[in-house]
Amino acid sequence: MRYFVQTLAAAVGAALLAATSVGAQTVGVPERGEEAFASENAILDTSIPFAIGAREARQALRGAFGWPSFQEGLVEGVYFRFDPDGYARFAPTPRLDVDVFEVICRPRTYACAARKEGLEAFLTDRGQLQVKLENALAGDQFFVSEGVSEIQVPERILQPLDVPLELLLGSGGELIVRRGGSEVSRVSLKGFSAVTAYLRWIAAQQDYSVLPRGWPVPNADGAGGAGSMTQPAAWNSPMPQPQMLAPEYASALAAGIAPATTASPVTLAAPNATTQPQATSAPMADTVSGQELRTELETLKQIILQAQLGRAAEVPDATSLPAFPPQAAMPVSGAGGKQAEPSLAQLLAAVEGLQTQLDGLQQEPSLPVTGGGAGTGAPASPVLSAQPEVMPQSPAVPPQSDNRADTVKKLDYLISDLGLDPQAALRVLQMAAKDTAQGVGAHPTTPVAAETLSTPAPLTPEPAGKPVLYQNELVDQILAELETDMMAATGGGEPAEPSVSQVTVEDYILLSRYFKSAVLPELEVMAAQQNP
Amino acid sequence: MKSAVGSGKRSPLRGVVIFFAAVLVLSGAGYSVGISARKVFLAQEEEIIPIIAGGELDDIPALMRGNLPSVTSSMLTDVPRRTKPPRMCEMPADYFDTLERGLNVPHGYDKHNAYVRKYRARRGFLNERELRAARVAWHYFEKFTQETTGLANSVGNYPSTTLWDTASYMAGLVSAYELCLIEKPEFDRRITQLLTTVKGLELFRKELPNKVYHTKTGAKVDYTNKPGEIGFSALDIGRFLVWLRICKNRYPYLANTIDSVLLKWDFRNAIDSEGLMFGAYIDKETDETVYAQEGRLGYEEYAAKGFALWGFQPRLAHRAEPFLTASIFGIQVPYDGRDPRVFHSQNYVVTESYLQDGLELGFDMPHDDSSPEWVHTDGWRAEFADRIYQVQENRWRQTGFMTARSEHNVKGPPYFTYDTIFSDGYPWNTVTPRGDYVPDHSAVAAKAALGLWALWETEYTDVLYEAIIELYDPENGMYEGLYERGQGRVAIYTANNNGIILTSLLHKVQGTILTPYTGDTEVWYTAFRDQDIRLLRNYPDPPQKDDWLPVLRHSVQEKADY
Repeated sequence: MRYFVQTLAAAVGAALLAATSVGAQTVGVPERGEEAFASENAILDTSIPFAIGAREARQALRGAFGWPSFQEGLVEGVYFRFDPDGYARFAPTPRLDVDVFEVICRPRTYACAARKEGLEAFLTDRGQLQVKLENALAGDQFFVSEGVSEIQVPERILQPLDVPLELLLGSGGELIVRRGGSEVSRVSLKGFSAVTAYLRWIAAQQDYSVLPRGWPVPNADGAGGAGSMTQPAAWNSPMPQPQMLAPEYASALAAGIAPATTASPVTLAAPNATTQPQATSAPMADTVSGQELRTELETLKQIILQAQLGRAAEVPDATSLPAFPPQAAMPVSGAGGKQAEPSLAQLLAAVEGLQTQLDGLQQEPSLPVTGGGAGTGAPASPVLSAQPEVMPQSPAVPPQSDNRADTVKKLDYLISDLGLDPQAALRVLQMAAKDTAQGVGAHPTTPVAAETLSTPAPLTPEPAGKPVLYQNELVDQILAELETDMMAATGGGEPAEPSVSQVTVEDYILLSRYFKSAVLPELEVMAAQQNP
Repeated sequence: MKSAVGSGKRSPLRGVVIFFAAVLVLSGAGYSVGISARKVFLAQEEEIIPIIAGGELDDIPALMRGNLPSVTSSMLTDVPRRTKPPRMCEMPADYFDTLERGLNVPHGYDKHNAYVRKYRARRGFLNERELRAARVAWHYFEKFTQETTGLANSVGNYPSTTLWDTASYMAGLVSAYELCLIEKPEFDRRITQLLTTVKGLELFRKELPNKVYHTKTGAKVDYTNKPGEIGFSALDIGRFLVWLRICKNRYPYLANTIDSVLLKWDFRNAIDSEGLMFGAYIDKETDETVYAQEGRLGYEEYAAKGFALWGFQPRLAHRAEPFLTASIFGIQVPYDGRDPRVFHSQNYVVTESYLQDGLELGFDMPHDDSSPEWVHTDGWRAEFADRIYQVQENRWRQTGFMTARSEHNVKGPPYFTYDTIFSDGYPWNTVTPRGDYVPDHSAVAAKAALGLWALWETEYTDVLYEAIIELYDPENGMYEGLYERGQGRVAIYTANNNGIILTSLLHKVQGTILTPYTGDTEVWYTAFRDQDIRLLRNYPDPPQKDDWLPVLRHSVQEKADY
């Protein structure tokens, strides 16, 4: 009996030991799908250069799977390589071995994060850049060091960054965290600006328009008007085309929260920047003719006029309606064909929103058109839909001295966000100011506008040798027709009523946006033909 | 009287007599010369050596050449050819007591350029720990072999594979059978289904197997496992040829099936007249096939021997040149001398290719079927392998890092790393396929560690053994490795890793995996002799002595170089 008990105990012990051993072996080996290779994780086309000089190359694969291609290059002093799934490394040495920013994307999404040592940078749902520091605690002090000089940065670098802070971090140097006078961590910021541009470029599906001002993008003229870098239809790569759109980004884009519209000014890197190849699925961009352009404009005019006439009967209470329907805003980037070509419903919603705002402005005539993101301190773009909840609804009257800044903001928006030529932008402001002056005079003419009025820009195209977009006879003619039509629809040749004068500014914005997204490529071609 | 004499001298009769006498003498001389000449000529005709059909002077027409047996070393010497060892469960208990290991033979080259290594391979029965590791490794193939095709996944659940990894599955299958983990019905079922599937694979542009296939459907796919084609890899095919030869030699009843697989393939572009191997890929712009030399020092020679085992003559591919050496921890580590900037192909120095040569081919020449286990007739390969081992032991001794470097998969991006001893000008360089330096992915590769343990019986490999032998998940197989920087196990399971581990364990029991061919001739050499297919597809004739790859040696490093 005793022998039996001993044997039983030994057997139980052995079984327990074996179970423990097995358990120990299996612990910590989760089969996480996000770490497994899947072709659906491809979100980037490596044949579209991130910057001038970048090239696509083949990977030396030995295994059964992997990305067959990658892209490598040098930009802003850092070397980079990235795979179709967005995995990238940025480092100051070509071996990408030290001081490396590593970017990893969540599979099948455009949600990516860049990491270096204890620092992590990513884009928020609104497209703002945010930084996380592993070792940072409440009460820590942050410094940006460049050689021997240091400047302290506010604690809000751990919140979504505004433009000045982002520019500061992107200028290089090191980010130092101090606690009680002693240094906790020190992270090199080398490559920070390139990485943030990369994150935005991914989120915008490789649209060059989100890259910072001065970014060395390939010349669209050379790259191809014919799309010589990438020809989606005939592309014979073993790689699948980027196909997935992150749900959150899809919704964000649909809601007009384009990544680059809130955190930093959106800049067209080149006046003739092309859209990415996927966007060419919108056939209009390639094949639209002057006649089609007129037809499109007619449709748009009808929509706007109908909406205005419909609204004329009833003036809703401004406070009872949403300030600006989220659907009204179209992504400035125009990254994809779907975003670039607004649907009828979107246009109607946009018109409705414009009308609503117009009504509000009629009641508060001195309210500036551009609502700033005062809550965040970021210079919000005039695409108000990007931050509808922070748009000032209060009837506070801005001081007179703000008019110049207001005009400058408008001018900046027209030039940098919408890609208008400076003179065209001035003309838009000039027309707006003229309408305003002819109206109730509630909006005092800004100095800039006054200056413009005194020296009206010529209606003829720019002299040869300086290619100018939008300023050809066709566009001028269309704008003139549009102005005439709208005047006629709202009271013939009488001096414009306040509503008409207000609508004109917004209409120009909307139309300009429409121009950019729908007919810009055609206009580029026309401009090029006129100014070879 | 005087006048009579004088008139007699001048008589016409005398002149006639002299004339006839001269004619008679000349005729006799002519006759004698003629007779002599005739004798000479007749005598030469009688000395002509008759040409016997199939003999040395017989210029055998191509139609009949396939009937010749392949000439191996045992046919030209008195040394009997090796024999296939019994399965582990069929070995007598004293099998290893009587096994000759040549322990007293000094290391170095012999006069035939064969090499005897400083350390011997481990031999013996598997102990409990090793047997458990073998079972777990085999379980990978049990779990990840597709019922529909008989192909095994390269990496865990991901349903794709290459010929390289299919060879690893064959290695696992042979090892499992020889180690008595499975029995013959199971072995036959698996190998037959596998070979049948491989025979039915759609080839890359009707030449050779595509680089990647979907394991569930058997369709050729691209690197993202979508239907498509990539090209073919000469290295993958070379390894697959090694394992087809191992199976054919060990199990002659599979010979016809195996031959029929190869007789579908077209080798015209895989190996050129100088003996270089070529892979293929598709030009992205033109969609045309591009053939590019494939293989660098280490893998190239291993794959070349795979081709040579089937009668091809990869003379250049089997040579070490051009190679250079890098001094690392006192060892002159050989690496490929072709400049990556020119040839756009990196020269990774890893353990794996040397291990496979040692485990599967015994560092022997393809024609050698008779040398003892401790004599490696492909001498320089064994000598280079010794350096690859020694530099890793030296690193361990001088830095404390356990080192067994190889290429291996990793979980998540970048999915695969070349964890090298030397590459791109740097020692201990861990790089991704696109060239990023990723030292965090450096690891003790399980397959490399157990391969070193099997081939080098040393104190250092005992340490590697302790680190790896229990590095498994019973449900999935052996882990890929152990991270060098303390991040734990490389939590991924692959056919290659488990196949090589099983091969290493089988090597401990049976020695060199390749056994001699025991038949006379082969369908591989006799098929299509009545057509031009053999010529078009570059099928070889049975190799004769003149076709053997040359046995070379390189300078030996006498002492450590610091």
